Amino acid sequence: MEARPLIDQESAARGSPAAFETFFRTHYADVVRIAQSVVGDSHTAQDVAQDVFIAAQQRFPEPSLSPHAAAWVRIAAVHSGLNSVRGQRRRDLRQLRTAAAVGPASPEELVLERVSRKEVRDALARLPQRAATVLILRHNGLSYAEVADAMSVGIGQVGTMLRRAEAALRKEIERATRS
Amino acid sequence: VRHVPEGKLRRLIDEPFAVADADANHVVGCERCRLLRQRIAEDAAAASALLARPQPLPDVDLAWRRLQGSGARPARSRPARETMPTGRRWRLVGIPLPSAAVLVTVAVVVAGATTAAVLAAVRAPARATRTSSADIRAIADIVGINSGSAVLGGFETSSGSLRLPFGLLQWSSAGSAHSVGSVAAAEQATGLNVSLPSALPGGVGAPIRIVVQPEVTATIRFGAAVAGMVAGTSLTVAAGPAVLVEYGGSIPGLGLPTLGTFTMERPVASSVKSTPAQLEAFVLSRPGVPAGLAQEMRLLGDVATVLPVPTPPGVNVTQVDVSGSPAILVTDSSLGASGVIWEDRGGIVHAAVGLLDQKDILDVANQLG
Repeated sequence: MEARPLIDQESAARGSPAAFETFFRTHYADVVRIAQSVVGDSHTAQDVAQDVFIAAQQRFPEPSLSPHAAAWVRIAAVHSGLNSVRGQRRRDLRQLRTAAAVGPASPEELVLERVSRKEVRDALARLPQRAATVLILRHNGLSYAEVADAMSVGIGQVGTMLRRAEAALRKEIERATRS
Repeated sequence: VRHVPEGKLRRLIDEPFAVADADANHVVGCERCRLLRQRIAEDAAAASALLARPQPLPDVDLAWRRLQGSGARPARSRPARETMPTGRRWRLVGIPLPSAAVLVTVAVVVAGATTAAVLAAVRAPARATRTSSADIRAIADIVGINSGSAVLGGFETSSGSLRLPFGLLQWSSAGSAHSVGSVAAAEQATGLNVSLPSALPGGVGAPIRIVVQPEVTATIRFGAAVAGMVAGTSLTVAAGPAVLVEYGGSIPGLGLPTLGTFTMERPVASSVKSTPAQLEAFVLSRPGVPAGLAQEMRLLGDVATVLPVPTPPGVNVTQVDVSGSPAILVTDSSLGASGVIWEDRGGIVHAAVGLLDQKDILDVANQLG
């Protein structure tokens, strides 16, 4: 049986809505998942994803013709998510205090779990952007080759970047836990 | 001896076959590299655990319609947006209704420790309708006003009026929300058949409070100064009575609610001299209505068969089934809280919310449905 292309190349070449819709439907869930890894909640993640695809629509009107479009939306999800977390850190701190004031009670472990997730988000936001990006991409299932492609680095660099980023994350978490 | 660089040791953990045999063999025989690899693996495992998140299941169809509605088009000439706003706000999701009676519905689910569900509806038939006091506040919020005197969950007084920029809001009820001593008393006060779960999830104790909200009726009279077809019309909304049952925890004395169940007749409203579509258009055109909210209400499509449920930021939303009725399950995994809201075939709106996982909250809901 003849293989059918996923994307209508003719319509893609014209930058048709159908071509972009296919691209959107193929990558939207991944972008939301990546954004949620950064921002921590699905609604903000979906807002981030919307903005990413709006920007992608301007940048890649024919996404099937761009080998970098899929990588670009993933990177954009990380960056936009990090910006969101950094911008909301003050609000998160306020919520964190509120969460701490709720307990202690039988669900206190759940509250503590929530606090720790906020600490992780803040720690991520404090890391250098490239370190946070490699962490998010790799821990969302992208292969070393995919991470290298998305970040425009050699595949041999990914392991080194990832190792350093994981060590930096551990140190940030330890520092936050001590303080 | 040339040891294996840390980057390769890291990749050896994830993609061992991508690392040269010589390097892999070196690690086996080199204690230094073996120990370093172990430390790297521990950091990797810690990062993996720290970054683990529930897998979201986004509604791609809705997201695509939302993107289309944003006005973005694949045209190079269109300027890119300068910013990427990621504000936290409530979002609408829809529940398919068993009946097609509700034409415009606005609902607010207040998620929190005590949890209440608030609903307001605009119904086509020009007859007496119902809503709760807080519904009016929800409407007030949506039309871009802040009453200042009302609190979420109800008005401070059982009756009163409020001058709005476009008219007058008047409300009245048989009384304020109050606690009663038993379910039987709540049923007697409201006429509702209040179901309670016979089997409670672990960690949930006995009921600690039963709250009755008497029926509330409110009317918005749109002033003649309002432009458009709603000028001179009125909207009467009524809801309730409603019953909220709060459960404590398994540890006595803490007083922290772990579960709340909410029962209320479907809130409806009637309009005079205007259609629900006109009122919806008016509400959505008010200054202060977030563009995203208006867009989501429009994207919900046929509001005759869908109950829009705003959900707070930071939650996952799933469509589920409760005793044969479509329902919306809202979970906040980071807080360990979840809630479900549905309308049964008898026109009763139910909600169950608690510091429970989704399995437990659905177990509770299915006992109520």
